[in-house]
Amino acid sequence: MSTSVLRLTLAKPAARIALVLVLVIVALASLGPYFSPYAFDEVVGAPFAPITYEHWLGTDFLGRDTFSRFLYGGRTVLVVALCATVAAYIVAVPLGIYSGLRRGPLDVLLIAISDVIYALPPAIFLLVLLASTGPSLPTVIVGIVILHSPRIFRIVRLITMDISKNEYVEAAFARGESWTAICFLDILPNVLTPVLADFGVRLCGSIILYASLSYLGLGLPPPAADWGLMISENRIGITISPWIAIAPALAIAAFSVAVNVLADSFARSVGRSKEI
Amino acid sequence: MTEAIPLVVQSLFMHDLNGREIVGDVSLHVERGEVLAIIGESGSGKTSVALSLLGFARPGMRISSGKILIGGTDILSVSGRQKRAFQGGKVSLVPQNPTTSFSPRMSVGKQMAELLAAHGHTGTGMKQLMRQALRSVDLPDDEKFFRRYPFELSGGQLQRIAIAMAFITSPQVIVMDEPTTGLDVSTQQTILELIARLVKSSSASVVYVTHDLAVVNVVADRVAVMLSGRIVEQGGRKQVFAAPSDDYTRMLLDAIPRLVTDCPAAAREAEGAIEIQSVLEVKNLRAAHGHVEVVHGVSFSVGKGECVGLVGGSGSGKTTTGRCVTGLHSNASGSLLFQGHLMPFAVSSRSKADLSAMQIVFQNPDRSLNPKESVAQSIARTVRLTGLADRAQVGAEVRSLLDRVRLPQRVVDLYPADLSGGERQRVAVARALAMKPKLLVCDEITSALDVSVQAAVVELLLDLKKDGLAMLFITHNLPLVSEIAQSIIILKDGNIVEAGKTNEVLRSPQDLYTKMLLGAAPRLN
Amino acid sequence: MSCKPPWPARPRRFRFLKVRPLNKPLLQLLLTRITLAVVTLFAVSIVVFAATQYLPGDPARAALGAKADPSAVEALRRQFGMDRPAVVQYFSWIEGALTGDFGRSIPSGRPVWEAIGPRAVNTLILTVTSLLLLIPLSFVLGILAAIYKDRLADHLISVPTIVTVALPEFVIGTVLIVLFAVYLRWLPPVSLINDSLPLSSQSSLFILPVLTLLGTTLAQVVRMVRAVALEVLSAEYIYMVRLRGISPARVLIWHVLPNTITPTIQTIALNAAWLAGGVVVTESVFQLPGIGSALSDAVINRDMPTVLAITLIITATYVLINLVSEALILLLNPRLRVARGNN
Repeated sequence: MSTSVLRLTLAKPAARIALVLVLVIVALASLGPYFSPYAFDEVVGAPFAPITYEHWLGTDFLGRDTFSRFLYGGRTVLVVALCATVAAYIVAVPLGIYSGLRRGPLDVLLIAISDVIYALPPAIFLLVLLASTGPSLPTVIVGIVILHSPRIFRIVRLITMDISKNEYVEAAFARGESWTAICFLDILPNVLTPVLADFGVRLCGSIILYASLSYLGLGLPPPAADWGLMISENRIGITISPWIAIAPALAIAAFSVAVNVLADSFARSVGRSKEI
Repeated sequence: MTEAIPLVVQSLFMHDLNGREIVGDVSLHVERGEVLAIIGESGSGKTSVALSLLGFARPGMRISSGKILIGGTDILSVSGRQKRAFQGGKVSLVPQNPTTSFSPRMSVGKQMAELLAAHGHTGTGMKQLMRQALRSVDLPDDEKFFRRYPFELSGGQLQRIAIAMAFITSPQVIVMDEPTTGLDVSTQQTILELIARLVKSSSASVVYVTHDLAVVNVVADRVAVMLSGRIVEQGGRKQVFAAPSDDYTRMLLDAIPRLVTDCPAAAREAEGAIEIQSVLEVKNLRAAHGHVEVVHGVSFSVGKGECVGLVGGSGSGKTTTGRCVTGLHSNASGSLLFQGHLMPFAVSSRSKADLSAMQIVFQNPDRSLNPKESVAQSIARTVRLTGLADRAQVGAEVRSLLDRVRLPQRVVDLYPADLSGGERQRVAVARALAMKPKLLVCDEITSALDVSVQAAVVELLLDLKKDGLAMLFITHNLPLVSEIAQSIIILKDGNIVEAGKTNEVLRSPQDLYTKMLLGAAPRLN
Repeated sequence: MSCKPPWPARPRRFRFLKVRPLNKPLLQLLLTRITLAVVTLFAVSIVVFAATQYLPGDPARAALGAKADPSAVEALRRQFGMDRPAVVQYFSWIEGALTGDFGRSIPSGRPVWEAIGPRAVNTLILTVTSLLLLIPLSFVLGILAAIYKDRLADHLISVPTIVTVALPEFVIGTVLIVLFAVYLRWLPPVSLINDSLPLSSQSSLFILPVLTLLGTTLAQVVRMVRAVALEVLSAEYIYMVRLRGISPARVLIWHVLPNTITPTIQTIALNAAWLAGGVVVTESVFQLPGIGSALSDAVINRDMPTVLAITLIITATYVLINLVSEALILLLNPRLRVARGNN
């Protein structure tokens, strides 16, 4: 079953290219620092020096080697986006199933909370959070989890309610099966597929959110190397050395677009194959 | 030859996008004023043929070769404006599901006017035509009615409008695609009568597509029987019904449930049934959805080895009654006596023994099995619930249950998606039997199945009844219930209007509604 | 003078948009939505205010720096009324906010509104222009892609959308700057609006920011319109209408379009949430003086009064947009519009 979905997901060449891109960027971001020619905070020359054999991407506004900083700069976005997205699912899926199956006062409370979070535009919510606690990576992760959870929660809750109307669930209740058995055997397996179908889209959202925060100077603090930050801190030099901005911009773009293409393809393949 | 035959189809082939044949070598013709019925079960390609007569193939399918001559012109050879002049003008369609066939954000009057305008009508003549058409299908013809939106009208009313629209342009050919299937039993009958009346008074050639042989008997002059995309038999209705030449046709005819009014078995059992001990006794059951009461004090009992048929149209409260009995609907009052003791309404407060002693099988085979569980998994899980834990024993039990519902052993590792509707329904029955129930509640379990599959499931139920299983058989299908139930209860609007031994009720119905239901059940002869 | 209204009677063609006199159930629904919106807004203001109060992190200390003299921090707290109980602070803040007084900015001591008021105009121009382009463009492109599903026109529309939908605004903005400002030199790389010059003479400064904002939102909405239109196009009633011999243009305008509008309004309203975040980033990329860039500056400076003020303004706008979209959906729904007594 799962192999057929995988095959369907990768049926189109675009999806295969996307997979390769994701793998390349993950490798680049996680292994890059071991191959970097210089340290990320080492001043090696004059600011905005042009591309040379020693400095493949020239130097940045403080005279640090841009290529080395580029190799260091992908780790955070990768870790933050993945952690936040996975954590959001871990929080929201059980709550959604509980809410959809049992209803009751907890359901009402959760819906009210999610309504308030819905009413705040996501980026604004993160900015308020960071303004009141001061920028830090754990806060960013918690913030992204809080943003994703109500959206995942709502979907899981709706799907659970839908599934629990199915006659096999009713039959299970009628023959006296326990709540746990029904949750784990009837609900969870059927919820998981449609819910995981948008995992990639949410991961992509997390990437964009963190990269944008980093660009605004609210991610890793300087002098750390971070792709978003690299673009904004070298903003004044964009007319002299546009490649400093282009390299991290392309990396982020390639990563989030590839994740999105894969997610799209996966969602389609799940929708198309009846089983699983 | 002075006039071309209105509809001639010459060796029509249709394929899906993977190149699989959907329709193969179909040839037919319909004379002026003649009704040809195309009969087939689901997947036989009958609807594809019907839609192709309008030069249309559903997405994922294409008409690969053949000719469809409407009044001598091949509709497949024209396109654009010319083709649109045929569609709705010279060939019209009555759809299967009236509620989804009208544009939801446009009033019905406007949709009628739109059709007429597209075929060259204008002004007051058009209005007159619209009024006349609505009158002919017994609907009001005032301005207020024209302004109604589809959601304001019932399925029956919408189907009348759809029929009116099919006749309004005086087409040469009218295609009816299961026009009564989506409707309630009692509405079905009136719509069928309406169609029969309109067809007689018009000179159009009609192609009537259906799976229901009994309906054919009312309207058709000739029939064509389709099986997997091909016509297996074609001929005059009387001749085909009286002496079918094809095995498949014979099987279809045999599979139709007939109203059994003097079934010897039922009569014999009925004699002894007076003394039998009752498994379930329902007293003064009232049930509500929210604050609206839908069942108003229903009492009946089911004896050991007895099958009680609970019959009614949609909205009669029969399904709610069944759900109350099985504990799925607890917004109810009254008393349930099960195996001699009082039983609460909510599943959560019933004892384990009670829960296992009563099982329910539902209408829709697509939704009654967990798509993520194989047949073995879903039955084994239920077997383990009875306390059996040993792997080998559970496996043996699963196999014997499959035997009991006459499913081959090869299905154990298959998933619901790999099974047909009939097979799924058998698995659902096997799963219910795993709990060793004393009472089985069957909620319309055959109504989503094809006739031939239906017959097999009924046979299975008869077998189970012989083994002493009590059954509450909920259905809208009177002929079907007459084959299986010793006594029947007729429900209408949440009240019992008639109850008694099956053959007595069917032979001499006392209540008007029962008579109506009996009349509504189309018969073969 | 005639008594006829100066405008012609509503053309018959747009009858489906015609709003009948509001009937009671519809009015009740609308009132419920408005009440809900107000309640939500208050809930949000409480949550946001509570966040600044109870989350770890002291804005006064943050404003003065970690090494500041404790007595100076205390003085600042008193000066801004931060020594009062939270509830009192909240009510005095919300009372001021309702009358347009958002307090004083912490680092500068100037009234918040004085700083963000003029900037709000720039942001308004940026967002309204983007929305005005977004709505018609997304309809046309989305429906075109749906009609020509899996054909060239669809690929030309859908492939770019799946790419841009995944791009952060600062990437699009940076690429646009490199392309149009660095290489082509058509437009300036920054959009430093000069308050003393008339805005009309600086309209070219808005081109790249608007394009940046459009890039991400348009992709999102086009995808949604395409999906909705595809669903409508495959609905049974569309086949039925086509099989009645109605011309394709009529089918599109009278049957596909009206049924595509409602879900699309919802999507556009939802996208307004992303637009808000997009505005913050876009304004920062182009250094355009608007309330978005003011917010990100205020967050970095821990200027809480400004953060609170801008958050409230943006959230109120967002809630308002959603309210308008809900009202539109209700008004366009024939079920509610008709609501006659008899079935």
